[in-house]
Amino acid sequence: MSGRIAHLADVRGGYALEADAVVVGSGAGGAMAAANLARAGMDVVVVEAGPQVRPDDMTRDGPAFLSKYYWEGGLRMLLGSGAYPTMSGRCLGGSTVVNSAIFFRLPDWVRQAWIDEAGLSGLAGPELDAAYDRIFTRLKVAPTPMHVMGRKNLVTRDVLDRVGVPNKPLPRAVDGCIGSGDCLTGCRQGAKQSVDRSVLPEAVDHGARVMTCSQVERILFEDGRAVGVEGDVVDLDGWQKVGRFSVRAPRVFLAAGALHTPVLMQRSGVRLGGRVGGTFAAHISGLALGILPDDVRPWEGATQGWGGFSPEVQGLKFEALWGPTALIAAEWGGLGRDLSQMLQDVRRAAMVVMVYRAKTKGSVRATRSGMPDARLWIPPEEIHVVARQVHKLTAAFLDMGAEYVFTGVKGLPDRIRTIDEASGLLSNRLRGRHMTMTANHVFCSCPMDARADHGVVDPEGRVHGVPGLWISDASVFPSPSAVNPQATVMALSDLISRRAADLSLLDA
Amino acid sequence: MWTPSFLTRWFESTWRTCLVAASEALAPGGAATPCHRATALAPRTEAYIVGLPPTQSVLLKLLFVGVEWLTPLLAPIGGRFSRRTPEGRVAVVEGWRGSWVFPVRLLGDAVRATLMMVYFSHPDVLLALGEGEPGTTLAEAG
Repeated sequence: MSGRIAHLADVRGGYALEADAVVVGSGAGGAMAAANLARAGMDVVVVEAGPQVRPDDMTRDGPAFLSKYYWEGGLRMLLGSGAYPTMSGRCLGGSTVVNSAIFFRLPDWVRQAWIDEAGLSGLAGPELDAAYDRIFTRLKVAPTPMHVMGRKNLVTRDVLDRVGVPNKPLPRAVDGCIGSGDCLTGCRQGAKQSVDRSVLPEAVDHGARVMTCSQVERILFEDGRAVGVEGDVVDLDGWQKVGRFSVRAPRVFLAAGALHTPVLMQRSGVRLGGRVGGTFAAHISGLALGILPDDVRPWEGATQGWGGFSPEVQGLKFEALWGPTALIAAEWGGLGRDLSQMLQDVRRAAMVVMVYRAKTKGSVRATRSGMPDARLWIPPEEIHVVARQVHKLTAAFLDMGAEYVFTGVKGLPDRIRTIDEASGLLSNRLRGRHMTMTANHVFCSCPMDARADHGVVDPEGRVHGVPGLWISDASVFPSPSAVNPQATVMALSDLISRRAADLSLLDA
Repeated sequence: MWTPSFLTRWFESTWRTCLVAASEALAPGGAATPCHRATALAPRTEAYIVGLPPTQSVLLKLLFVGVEWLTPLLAPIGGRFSRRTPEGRVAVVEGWRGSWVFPVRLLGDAVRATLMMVYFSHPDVLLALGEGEPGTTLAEAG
């Protein structure tokens, strides 16, 4: 039996389907669940809010791409301690289409914390490792090869050497990367193993029907049991609703991401005493962008090919980054007559960023329009941890002969030329609102916990007290992963869906 | 006078006026720098804003209306944003970006981010930087 991918032309006007399982979202978690359920012989329908991205749409016109294929046009913000952009894909394959495909297993110390704090003793066994093994093999995860590094990644290597951080090529899920540096607007070459290329085809081969442009509005219930979903077919041209759809199925898998999954549940009346969306977390970040004496041409080479973990701050990771220059320029550089200077500087720029598993607090609530209103509160002491590392990076760049360094920290010069000018980074008065950061790793809005009165889902991904409803995305993380979350989202979803489908957990 | 259709026309014309004024000021061009005209900055930004999801589209339009009319309040000498000199407009945006008042800083950051994102995605600007088309390999880029 072979399924299919239905595009806007196929779903315009609406539809009503029945299936054995419906999966909401086609990203890392949804694709994995769909593939396993379909492989077990179930009739599976996947509903995805966005369209399929065609190679011709993958353009360096960053704003045009973002406005179509990112949620809220790429302008979504987390409010709270500041206003932090949080970007996630709204397309077939979800954020896996637009991330850098960096794959790490959950660090042992985080895994142990999940076991201890959320009672997830099942994670202590070989099943999770087997899931990682399957995923890393299928998605061809390997260290970024040297021939696609480009100079920007090697500058990161040199910076990290100077600050004493062990570093190496980052492991990524790519096959035949040419170092175009276009990861954040989709891989035109098809090298990135995003799940629309690597996992969803298997689901379709086993009969899954994948319905794009279908934005779920709410979960359907009968006698307290989840029995399907319904929503609107949305045409991106004009953002018009061009039909209603419903999918009825005795198994409903939510994999809409840490922001949309709790919103769907809240809008459907599932609140579990405020625990749904009552918690929320994100990795916080910082950056140092140095203008070196020689050309770097930062747009060349793998988007994020080199990095390392701090030996002194647990849960703090450094990595190279360059996205579309348009996105970097949104924050950095002069205006007016100073713009021409910036154009000359860009080719000599290199940027090192960090992500940090800070102790944050947050929540996600549904707005009247059905979008998430997410809040993130970052204690000042956690900001100071990041700022001190930015100070070290700044010193390293200057030591390497950088003409100036940009950190995006408010109150500091835009062009830091001496380390004395960066002394504000050591101030205890810094707060979250002073930092320039994005928070793209989001989780914990429907945490997994063995205790029914603590978490939202049980260790098998079933929503406590709601038969027929599973969650298989980053919402279920009990706490932040400390590494890029895609591998763990896929591994947990693999285990959750295999259990639901009675598939072996230890297959190779 | 303040009919819904009048308010709509006023709103639409105000945000576009401010957008054009901000484009002229923020990207005046130079010897090797494509200017706002060469990069069609204002019309491309307008198309970007109109093409966003409805909520974000309205928010960005409101941003430019706010910039136009909050300028006399937040930077009193010189009148509305679009009536200032290009240098004066840059000074207003840069001043807001450096403000310690968070909402004021957001205003400056948002104007800058919107226009610079669109400016730096124009092919002429990418060419001026030395960037190639998407998918350029390391070898092809030389």
